[in-house]
Amino acid sequence: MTSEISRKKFLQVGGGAIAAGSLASFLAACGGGSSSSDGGGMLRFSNDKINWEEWFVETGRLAREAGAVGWRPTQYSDTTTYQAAIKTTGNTPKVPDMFSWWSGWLMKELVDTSMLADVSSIWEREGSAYSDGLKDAFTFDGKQYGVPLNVAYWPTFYNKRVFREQGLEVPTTWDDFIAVCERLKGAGITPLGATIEGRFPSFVYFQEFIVRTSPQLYRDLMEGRAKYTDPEIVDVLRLWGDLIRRGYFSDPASVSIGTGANNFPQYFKPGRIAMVTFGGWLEPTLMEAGMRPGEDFGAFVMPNIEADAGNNLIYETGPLCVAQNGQRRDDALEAAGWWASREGQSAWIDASGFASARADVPSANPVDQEIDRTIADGRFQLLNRYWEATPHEIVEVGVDQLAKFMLEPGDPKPILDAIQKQADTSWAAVEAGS
Amino acid sequence: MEAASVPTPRRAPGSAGAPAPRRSRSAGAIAFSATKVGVLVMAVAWIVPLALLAVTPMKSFEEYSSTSQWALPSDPLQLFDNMKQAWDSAGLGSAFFASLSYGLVGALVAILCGALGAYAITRLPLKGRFFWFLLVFSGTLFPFQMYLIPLFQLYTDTNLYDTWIGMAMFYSAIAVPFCLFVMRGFFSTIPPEIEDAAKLDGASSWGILWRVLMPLARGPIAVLILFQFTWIWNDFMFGLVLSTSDGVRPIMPALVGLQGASSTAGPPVVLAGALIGSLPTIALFLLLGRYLLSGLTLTATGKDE
Amino acid sequence: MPPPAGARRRALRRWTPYLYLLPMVLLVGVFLIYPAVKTVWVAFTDATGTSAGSFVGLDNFTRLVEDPAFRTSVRNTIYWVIGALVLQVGLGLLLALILSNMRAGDWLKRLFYLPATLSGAAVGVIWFYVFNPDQGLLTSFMGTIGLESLTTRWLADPPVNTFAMIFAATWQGLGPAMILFLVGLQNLPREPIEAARVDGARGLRLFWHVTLPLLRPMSAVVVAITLINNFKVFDLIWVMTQGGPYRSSETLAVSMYRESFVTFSVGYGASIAVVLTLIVTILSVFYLRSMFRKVEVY
Repeated sequence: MTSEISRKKFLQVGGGAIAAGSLASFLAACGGGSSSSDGGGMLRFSNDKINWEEWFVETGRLAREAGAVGWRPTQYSDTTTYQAAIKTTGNTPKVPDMFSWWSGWLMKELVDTSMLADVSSIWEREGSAYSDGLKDAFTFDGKQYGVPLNVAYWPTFYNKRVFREQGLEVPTTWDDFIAVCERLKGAGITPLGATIEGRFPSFVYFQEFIVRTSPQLYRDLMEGRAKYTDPEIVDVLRLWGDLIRRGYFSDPASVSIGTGANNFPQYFKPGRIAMVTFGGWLEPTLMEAGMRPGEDFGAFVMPNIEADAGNNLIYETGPLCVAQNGQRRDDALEAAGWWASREGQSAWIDASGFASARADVPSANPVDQEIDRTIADGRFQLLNRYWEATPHEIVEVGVDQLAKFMLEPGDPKPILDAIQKQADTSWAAVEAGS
Repeated sequence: MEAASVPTPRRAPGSAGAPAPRRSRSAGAIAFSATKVGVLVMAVAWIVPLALLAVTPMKSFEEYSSTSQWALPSDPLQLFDNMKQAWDSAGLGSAFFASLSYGLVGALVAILCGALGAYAITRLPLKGRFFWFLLVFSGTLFPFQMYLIPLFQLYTDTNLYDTWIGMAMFYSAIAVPFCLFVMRGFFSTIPPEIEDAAKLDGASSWGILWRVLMPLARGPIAVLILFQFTWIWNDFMFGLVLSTSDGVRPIMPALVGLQGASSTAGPPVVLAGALIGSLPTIALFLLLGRYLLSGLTLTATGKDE
Repeated sequence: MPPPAGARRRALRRWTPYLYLLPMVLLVGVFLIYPAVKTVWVAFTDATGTSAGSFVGLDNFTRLVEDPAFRTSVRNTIYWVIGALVLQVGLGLLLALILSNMRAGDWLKRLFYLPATLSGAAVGVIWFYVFNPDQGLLTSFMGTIGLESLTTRWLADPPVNTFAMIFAATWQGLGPAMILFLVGLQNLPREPIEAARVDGARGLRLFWHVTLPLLRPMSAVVVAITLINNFKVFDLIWVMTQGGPYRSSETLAVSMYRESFVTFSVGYGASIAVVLTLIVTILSVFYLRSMFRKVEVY
C-alpha cells in the first residue's frame, strides 16, 4: 500500500520535474545560456559539497533576511574539476564572489597568488568565539583569508548496541582499547573499520596513531622538521601493521566509508564492525541508514598510546573564502562576516545538523554535543588533519603509500622511504620559494 | 547497386544471405551443442551484471545490507522510492533534461554538418578531398584528455563556460568526425546515375542532397543518432569540466556526484541513479537497434569511389 | 556587361563546395583541433593550475622516462591493449561467427550489445559491486562453486585489478566488435566461399583459408577501433579504482588526468597526452590505410 502511494508520488514528482526541467533548458537556450540570470543581486557562491545545496540555499536566504547580502550556491560534483575551476578563474573577473576551499597548504597556494581577500577584520570581531587551532588553519603571515565554512572533528565512532551486548565500556587507556578490540575480535566482530576507497582515508589511522604517541611529533612531521624515516614514525607503522595483522581492521578493499559505494553502514549498523575513526561528516551517512545519534552510535576520543601525549584531537576545517578579484568583493565580505557571526553559525548548524565551530553555538546532535563538551572540559589541543597540514604533493604520495601498507602490512621501511623522498623534494621547493 | 536502391532493408539482420558456411550436419552435433552451451554460459555472464543494475535498486537499504547480492528483492516496488531518492538528491532532474537536449541537438547538428561535408567530399569539385577528410577525422584520434585543459580555458575566456549553448556546441563538434566518416562511406556507395534525373530537372547541388541523397540515408542516420546520442548522453568527463549549474550540467557528472565524498546514499540508491541514467540509451537502442545491422551493412557495400 | 556577373557566378560555383565544408571544419577546428594543438604546446612548458608557465624544452619528457608511476602506467596500458585485442576482438569474431548461424541469434546479438549503450560511469559502478571482495557477486559465486581459494581483492591487488577492469570493459565493448564482424560477414563475396565449398573445404579449414582472409579489411577496422578505444579508457577506471590503490591500475589516460587535474602539473600532464596521442596516431595510420585501400567499410 505504501509502495503504491510512493509510486504515485514518484510519478507526480517526475511529471513536475519534466515540466520544470524542460522549461529550464528552454530558458537557458533562449537566454543564450546565461546561468546566473536570476537571484536578484544574490552573490555567487561555488563549492564542491553537492549534498549541502539545500542548506546553503537556506542560509543564503536567512542571510538576506538578516540584512546581509544573500547568496546562491553552485555545486560542483567533482572535487578535482572544482579545484581546476577556482584556480583557473581565480584571478579573473569570472571568479565566483565566494567559494569553499581547503585550509592549510592547499589554501596557501591561493594566498600566494593573491586570489583571496583578507578577512582579518571579521576574525577580530568574531575570533574570540572560535578556537585558536581553527584560526591558525586560515592564517598566513599573520592575516586570515577565510572564515570556517565547516568544522569536523575526527573522533572514533562506535556502535552502542554492540558495546552493550559485549559488556564493553568506552576505553580510556590504550590497554583498555586493546582489550576492547580483543574482546570484539573474540566475538567475531571486526573492531575497527578501515578503507582505502576514495584514496584519502588511508591517512586516518596513520595520523591518529602518531598523535596518540606524540602531538609534537605529528606537528614536526607535518612541517618538515621530522622525517618519515625517523624511528618514532617507523615504530608507529610497526604498531599499526601489528594491529592489522591481528585482525583489528576491516579489509580496506571491501569497505568504503563516506565515499564511493559508501557501504560502511551495512557493516556498522548490524554490528559486524564495531568502531571507526573518521570525520564527523560521516554522521549523516549513518543517520541516513537509520542509526540514531546518541542511541545507536556514539563517539569517543581514541586513548593515548603514550599516556603523556595529552588531550588532542584531529580536526578538519574548510574555509569560506572571498575572492580578492570578485566583482562584488565588499558584498561578499559582508556576507562572510554574517556567516561567521553567531546568528549565521546558528542558522548553518540548524540547517545542516553539523558540529558547530563556535563555542557559543551548540552542535545539533547529542554525539557532537558530547564531543564539544569533551574538548572544552579537557582543554583539548586541536590538530589539523594530514590532508591540509602538510604540502599537498607529499599528501598525494603519502596516501598512496599508506594504502599500500594497509593492504600489505609488511616492512614499513620502503613505504616511509618513498614518502620521505617526496618530502625532501617538496620541502626543498618550499625553501626555494620562500 | 541493389543495396543502394533499397533504403531500409527490414529483414532481420544475419538471417538470410549470410555467406558463412551453413550448419554442417556431418561435423557432428556434439561440437555444435558445445558451442551452444558456451554461448549460453556467456549470455548468462552478460545478463547477471545487467540484472544487478535492475534488481539492486528494488531493495531497501536494510534488505541490501542483510541479504546476499544474489537474493531477489522482497518488495520490488521499493524501486520507485530509491529512484525518487536518487532523482531528488543529486539534481538529476534538470541534468536529465539537459542531457536529453544535448543528445538530440548534438546528434542532429553533427549529422547535418557531417552530411554537408561528406556530400562536398564525395560529390562536388573540391581540391584536397582527402586532406579535408583527414583534418576533420583526426578529431577522433586524440585521446579526449588532450582537449580538456585548453578547452576549459577557452570556455572561461569566452563566456561559453557553464552555458547550454557552449555544451551543445562542443557535443556537436565532437560528434562530427564520426558522422562524416559514416555519411562519406554511405554517399560513396550511391551510384551517380541516381542523381541524373534530378540533374536533368535542373536541381541544384543543395536540392540533390536534400531530395535525392538524404532520403536514402535513413538507415545510416538512424545508426548515427543511436551512436551519437548514446555517446553524448554517456559523456562524463566534458560535462564535468565544462559545466556546473543545474540546467546546464549533464547527467553523468550529476550521477557520479551521488557517489561523491559528501554523499549519504547507499548502494541501492547509487544503482537506482545508474539505472535512471541508463534507461534512455537502452530505450533508444531497443527502438533503433534494428537499424544497427542494416544501416551499417548498407554503408559497407560500396567498393571504390 | 555580362562578364562580371558570369565571373561572379563562376567564382561562387567554385566556392560553393567549400561552403558545404565550412560548418564542419569550423566546429571541429575550434573545439577539437585548436585545443589539441594547444596541448602540444603546453607539454613543453611548466604550466600549473595557477600559472601559464614558461617554455622548458623536453624537461617534461625526460621526467616521464624516470617516473616509476609512468612506467606502471605504460605497462597497464599494454595490458589493456592486449587484453582488449584478445577478448574483445577474439570473442567478438567468435560470437559473430556463431550467432550469424543461430536461430535465437537476433536476441543474443541484442543482449551482447546492450552493455555498450551504458555509460562508462554506470558500467564502473555496476562492476564495482560485482568485484567487491566481501559480498560481491563474483566472490560469493566462486564461494558457492567451491573456488573460494581463487578469490582475491579483485580491485586492490595488482595486476589483478587491471585484469578485472579489462574484463568489465570487455563486457561493455564486445557488442560493437561483434556487430562489426557480423557486418563484415554479411558483406563477404559469395563466389570464393561457394567455390571453396565445392572443393570440399569445411568448418575450420574453410574459415581459416577462405573466410578469415576475406574478412581482413573489417578485421583491421575492428582491431584499430578497439585499440584506440582501449587506449583512451578513462571513465571506467576513474569510477572503479581512480587508478589506485597506490597508482597501481593507472593507464596513460588516467595518469594524464591525474597529473593535470589532481596534482595540477598541467605541463607534465600534457606531455603524457602527447605521448599517448603519438602512439594512437601511429596505430591509426594502420587503420586509415586499411580503410582507404579497397573497401569502404562502415
